[in-house]
Amino acid sequence: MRFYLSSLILLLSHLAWAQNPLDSAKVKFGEVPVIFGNLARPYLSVDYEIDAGSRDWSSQEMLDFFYGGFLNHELKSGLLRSVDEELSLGFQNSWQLNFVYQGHKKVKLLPIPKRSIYFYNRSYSSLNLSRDLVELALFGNKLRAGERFNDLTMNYESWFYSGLGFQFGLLVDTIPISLGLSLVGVHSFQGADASINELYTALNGSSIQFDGRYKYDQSSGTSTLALNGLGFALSLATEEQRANHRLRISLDDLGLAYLSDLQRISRDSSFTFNGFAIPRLLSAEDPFIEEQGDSISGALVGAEKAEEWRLLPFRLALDYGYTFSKSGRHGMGLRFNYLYLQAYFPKTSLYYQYRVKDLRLAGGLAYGGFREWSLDLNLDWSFAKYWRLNFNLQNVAGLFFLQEFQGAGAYAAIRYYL
Amino acid sequence: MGFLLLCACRPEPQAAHWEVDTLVPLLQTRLDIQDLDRGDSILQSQSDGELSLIFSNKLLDLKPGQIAPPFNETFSNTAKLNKITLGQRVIQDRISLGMIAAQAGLNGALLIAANGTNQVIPPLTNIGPSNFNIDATDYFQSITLRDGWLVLRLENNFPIDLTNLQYGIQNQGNGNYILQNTLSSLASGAVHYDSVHLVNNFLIEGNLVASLINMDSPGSNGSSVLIDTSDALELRVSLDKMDPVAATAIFPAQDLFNDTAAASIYPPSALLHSVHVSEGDIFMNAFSTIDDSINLRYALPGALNPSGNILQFLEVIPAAQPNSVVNAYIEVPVRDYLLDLTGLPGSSGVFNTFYTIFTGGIDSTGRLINLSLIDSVYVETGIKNLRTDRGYGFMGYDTLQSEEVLAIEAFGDILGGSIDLKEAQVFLSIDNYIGTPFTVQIDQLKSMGIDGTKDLAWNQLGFKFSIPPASENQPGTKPSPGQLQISLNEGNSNIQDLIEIRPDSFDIKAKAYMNLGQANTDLSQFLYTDYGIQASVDLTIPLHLALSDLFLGDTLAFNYSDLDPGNRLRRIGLKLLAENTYPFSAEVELLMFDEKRQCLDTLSSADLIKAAPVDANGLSIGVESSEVLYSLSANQAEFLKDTKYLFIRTVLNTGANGAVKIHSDNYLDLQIVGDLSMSTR
Repeated sequence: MRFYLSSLILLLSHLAWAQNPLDSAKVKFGEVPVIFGNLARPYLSVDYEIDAGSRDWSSQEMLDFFYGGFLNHELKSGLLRSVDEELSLGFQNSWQLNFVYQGHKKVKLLPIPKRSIYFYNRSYSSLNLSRDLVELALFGNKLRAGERFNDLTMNYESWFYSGLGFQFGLLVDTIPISLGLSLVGVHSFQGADASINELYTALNGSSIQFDGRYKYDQSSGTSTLALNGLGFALSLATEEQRANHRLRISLDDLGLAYLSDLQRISRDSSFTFNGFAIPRLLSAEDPFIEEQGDSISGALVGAEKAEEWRLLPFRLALDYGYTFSKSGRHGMGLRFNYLYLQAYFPKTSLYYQYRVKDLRLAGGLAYGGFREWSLDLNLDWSFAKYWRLNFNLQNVAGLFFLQEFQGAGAYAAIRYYL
Repeated sequence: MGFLLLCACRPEPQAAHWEVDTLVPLLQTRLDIQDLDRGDSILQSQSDGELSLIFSNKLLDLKPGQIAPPFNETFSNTAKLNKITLGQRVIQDRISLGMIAAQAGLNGALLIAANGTNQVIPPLTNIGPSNFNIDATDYFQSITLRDGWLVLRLENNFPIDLTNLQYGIQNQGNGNYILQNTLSSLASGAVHYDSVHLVNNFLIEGNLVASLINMDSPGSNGSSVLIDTSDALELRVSLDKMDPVAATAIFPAQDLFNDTAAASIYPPSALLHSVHVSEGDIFMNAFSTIDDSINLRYALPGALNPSGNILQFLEVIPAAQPNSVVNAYIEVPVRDYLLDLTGLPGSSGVFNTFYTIFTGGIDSTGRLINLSLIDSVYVETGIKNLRTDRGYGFMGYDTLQSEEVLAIEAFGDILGGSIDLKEAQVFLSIDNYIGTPFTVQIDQLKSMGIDGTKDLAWNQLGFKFSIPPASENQPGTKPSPGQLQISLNEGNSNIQDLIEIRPDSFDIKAKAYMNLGQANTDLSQFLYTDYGIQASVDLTIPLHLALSDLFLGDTLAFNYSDLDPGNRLRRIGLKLLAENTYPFSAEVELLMFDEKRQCLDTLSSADLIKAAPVDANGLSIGVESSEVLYSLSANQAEFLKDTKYLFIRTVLNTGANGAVKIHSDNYLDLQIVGDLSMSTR
């Protein structure tokens, strides 16, 4: 059922272009703060975000690959055709609970909660694979036997962690600052990095030559709630508004995790494999094939324990907004997003927004993120006095034109003022 | 709960699966015939590099088994009281003048008063009766005699003669007189002996009473004599030649047993002067009711260990409590003793015989011991399973007859086709590890194989070949054998025909005679049970041959899941890459058999491993490369999953090369490449 829901969301959702899902306890960009009699009130909110995309594969191809059954030759060829030089796949999935228990009285600080605590759970996956490696993975080495592969690269990262944080707002000179610090517990981590200078299979299969390096890390604990590392993360945000201009800057989840129990495979080697050696077939000597297998296996994928500090996937966002009138009914903006993941390409968005009473609608064109071009929509609605809903779709076309567009994302947040 | 919900919502996509086509080198090896090491064969390289294959098969391994049957012997000894010597018991006492005077009233008082003076002693009458205790309990407390003598010696050391002397010796306890008599006169200074024969279980107590019933004296006959009250009537009571029924006494040190016994081993027709005992035990089982410790010694004086010590043991049986029996069992292992078999010291012309000595006795402990006729010491001594592993002397006469069918593995893998051998030879080697001359006679040799049987035609069949005796090195080490080698070749027999039928066995009938025609005076012979007669056949085949569809086969156990534990293989193709310098070609087929050994299918190829080219001498020149493809159909791939045995069938041909020679530097490099289609899941 989880797979089904995930795929449904993948199809129907889109990442919020104007909404950083991680800052909902702190600063909401692209929104006008809801003011109750010039005072911010405490609130509870729940945010959820999911996003999956590729700069190479379409939504349908991703569905085929991740949720399909058997890939026949035609499907594999299609997948390979869609990759130019490198396959890039990205995925994120995040929940966050916020409890803002104290608001600010100062108008300057109104967008920023004075005190809040938040709890989150995030998972990220990122894969970059050079085209030749994609071909080898999909078709095997026989097709290209006799050819030399050079400069093959692979980068893969997968995070799954939770955090508990405390946020407070303050004024530095005239600049409002939101500062959040959270303790992070890493449940699982996988990372792979390979750079192969040369890979060659002899035409008749008599040898396989390899020259390159590869590294693979995996946290030891495998259960969902395992604790394989601890860390901390810092979140900073500020917002400045002058006349019709507004600038918001935020940095989220900038932190380090100490991965204390990694299983690491790390090699930098050059070898030629000609098969298991039975030195002399007629002799009574034990050929030690099993031992050779163990030895080769140990040489290639023998793991050792490791530990290291590692930078968490963090986000940087800059958002400039301009309203055409004082009422702020019409406006437009330019936004820049960065996520520290290999598969994430810095994203630039140009958007237009329209607000009427407590409802704000926005739409924009973006380039970057886990995909290339995307059309994004956002709705922000305050209703029933104490409720507020924010819903975003990223790459709306990806929901309807699965063959042509590259995945989708969604963000949903609901807030209740106490 | 919220945390759990969050965690549970992490999507876990399951990637699709697909098939990849891989080309993987699986195995590489070199087939070098010089590596043949099957236990039964070796390769010899001639000076020109030409190889000869030598198969060595053991024909015969006759071990003597035993020099003599395991030896067991038990000796019994019983010691009863009638064997126990009490010795002579002598009790001495004295009755002084003072003691008599003290019991003689007024006259006695006057005598005592006159002690040390010269007086005329008047005649005395009716002195007595007086009793004097004799304490013999330092020697015995009681003795009940079936037979024996009590002897009394009386010596009158008084200064006056005694007359009408009535005396007696009696037990203090029951008052019975042992001896009672009257002596008419005993002059001063005179000695008198008296004795009594004690029979019918007569009891003598350790506390005796000497009775002076009456005594008279004529006095000093008017002469003045020195009165000395220490002058005494000396008594000596001797008990001698005692045959006791029971006694509570201090027994003298004495042997209860002293037994020397001879025992023989029984080697058929052999005259052995010594044997080496490899194992066995000597034992003693003793039962005693005697109230004293018994010292026992059991020895085989003719058995010496490497340190020069004789084989023996000493044991002490503790004293038995009254009405109880003490049992002692001792077993001593016997290892590595050389046992002399020439009988008792001083004997001559004796063989196969050794002797034992058993002694046992009691020490004089000074302790009173109670013995009766029913007390005894019963001792069993003996030898258990004494085994010998080598013997010396004349080994006797024996005839060994043998008809053996001997499996030959040399051609076991060849299942068909033909070989045309050149210059094959057979050597029959017989090694005699026994220190006696042997005579061997081969009556028949027949080779048997799938293609029929072939009898050896040879003019030496039935001839008696002599094998010299072995010579002993360091005793206990393997002797140097006497050897006989018989050569069979195409010049003196049809042995080549016997080999070319690719025999799987040889049938050989032979006889071996020990000491045939030898006198039994040669005592320098020896025999080790671990080393006997060994015969082997060495088959030398120069690898100069022509092969025509020579069909070799071997079966391997196979388990598909070992090859593909994840069941990911979808299609399988194998490629055999060969670099061949042998002057013959090879076709290789794989036959798949299920667990019922039913053939499922055959994996074959139209290609073959090509033969290397040869020169005019039949020697290969250059390397021939081949690529042999084996493609498994979908059905064959399924069959492979059910396969439990793989039969590898190889057909060799020298073909147009004709008779070729295999050279020591010939080799065949093989590489197996997998052309596999695998599923990712």
